[in-house]
Amino acid sequence: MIGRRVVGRSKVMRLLPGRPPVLPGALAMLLMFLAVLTLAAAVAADRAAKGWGEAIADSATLSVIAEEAEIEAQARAALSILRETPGVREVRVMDPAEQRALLAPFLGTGIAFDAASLPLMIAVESDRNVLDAAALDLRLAAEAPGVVFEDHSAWRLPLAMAAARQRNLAVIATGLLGMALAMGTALGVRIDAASVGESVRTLKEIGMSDVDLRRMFLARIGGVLATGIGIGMTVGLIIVGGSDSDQTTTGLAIGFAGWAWALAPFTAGLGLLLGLGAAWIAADRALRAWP
Amino acid sequence: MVEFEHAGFSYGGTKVLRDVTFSVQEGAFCVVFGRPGAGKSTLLRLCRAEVAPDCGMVRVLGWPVQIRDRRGVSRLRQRIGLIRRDNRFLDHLTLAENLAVPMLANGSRPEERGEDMAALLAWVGLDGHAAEFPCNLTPAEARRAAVARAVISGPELIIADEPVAGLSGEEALEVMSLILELHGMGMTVLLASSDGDLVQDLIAARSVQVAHLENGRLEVVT
Repeated sequence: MIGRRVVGRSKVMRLLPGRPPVLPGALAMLLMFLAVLTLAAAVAADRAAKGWGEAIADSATLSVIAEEAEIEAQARAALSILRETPGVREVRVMDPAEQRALLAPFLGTGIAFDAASLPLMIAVESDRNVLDAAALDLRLAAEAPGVVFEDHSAWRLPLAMAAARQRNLAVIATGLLGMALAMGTALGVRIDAASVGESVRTLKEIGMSDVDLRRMFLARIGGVLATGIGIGMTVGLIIVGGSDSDQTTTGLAIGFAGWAWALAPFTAGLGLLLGLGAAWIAADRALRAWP
Repeated sequence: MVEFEHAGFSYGGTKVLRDVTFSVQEGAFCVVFGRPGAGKSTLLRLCRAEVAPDCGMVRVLGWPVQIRDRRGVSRLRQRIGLIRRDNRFLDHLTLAENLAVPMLANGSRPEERGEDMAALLAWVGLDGHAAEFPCNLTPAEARRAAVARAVISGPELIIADEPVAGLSGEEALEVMSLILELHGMGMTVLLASSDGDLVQDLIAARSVQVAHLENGRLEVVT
């Protein structure tokens, strides 16, 4: 009778009184939210670098800078060289309207383009695997000295380096957030242990093992931690997911696309493991304080 | 059961126990008598591996307490029933739940031992108090509840530290009769007390082993 009424195992397993502190949960929520934003920013930068890099990889521009009388001859020479160069797929002389559109972001729209002496520009589409850019540059310098070869692919390396830096910063930032989570959780366990110290003392006196006590602390703090991480991740994903999907794909907006969505739950899982590990160590240290 | 060989212990620089040598055989009733502050509680703490001796050897139920293995210490405590003057209970749990805790500690299933628990509560005169919280028990009831908790998981040794201190004559008699009954059932008891009358009564009641502790030195009287 008493057995049925009182000692259901699940009820008796509530051996530590009260509720665990909310600090680790609140901290986990905030840090997980920041981690999602950091990762989304890094992924977006990486995607932008890749997309833009691919877009400019096969393009180049030739600027014909010469006296007005010689422009046509220089352009003709350059076109002739380009047509003979292996790997050049398409050559096109830009019309003045296209040039204006190209320069407007840098010079503004208020410039009197007609009065300005603009170079003649030739757009080149090439196959990077075949084109020998250095040889073409040399040949142009020799046969069309008024022509300047601007290889756009030269921008790919700085773009890739910037993306890699951003990625590394995101990894470092996420690591620091993880450390903060671990420290916050450890602090939470210490606060919890201090608040239930009398019960722990009683339980140890009765013969409850440190393994069981540690498990109790982990169960208490684990629930708070998982809830905080879950909420932080969800809020982060909602905010990131609200970005314009077209811009997200091109990297103009912070957000995940494709497999990168898996980064958030993966990071959340890592965060939970890290927090539980820190809680385990903190609980173990706290339990050593009682005889 | 309990063996002390030239054991010593000090708190900071203060020597509390010096060169203590004695043993308690299985089934014995041993009383450690001494004035308050003589070191009786420290001696019992050594028996429960709450502290380790500075020198010498203390072996309880075959376990050398100087080995500070935490798993071993908790197993040792599971084999010892403790009754103290200031018994600690988990105040957020009912009395029955408190009695179930030692069973959980040693891995048994309290839900399968409900009848035993009811019988035990009746034996200590607390039937009908199962659902009460410890803070609602009188000091005498709490002391008897401590006796029930001490024996619920079938310990091999009962350690009683001033078990009747602060109780009225009748209440003390009730608690002592429970402890004597346990000894009568073959349980080994190690009791510490500063109450000379109690020790005299125990000597008169049955064959007990008495040791006198003074200035940290233990002398076996009988």
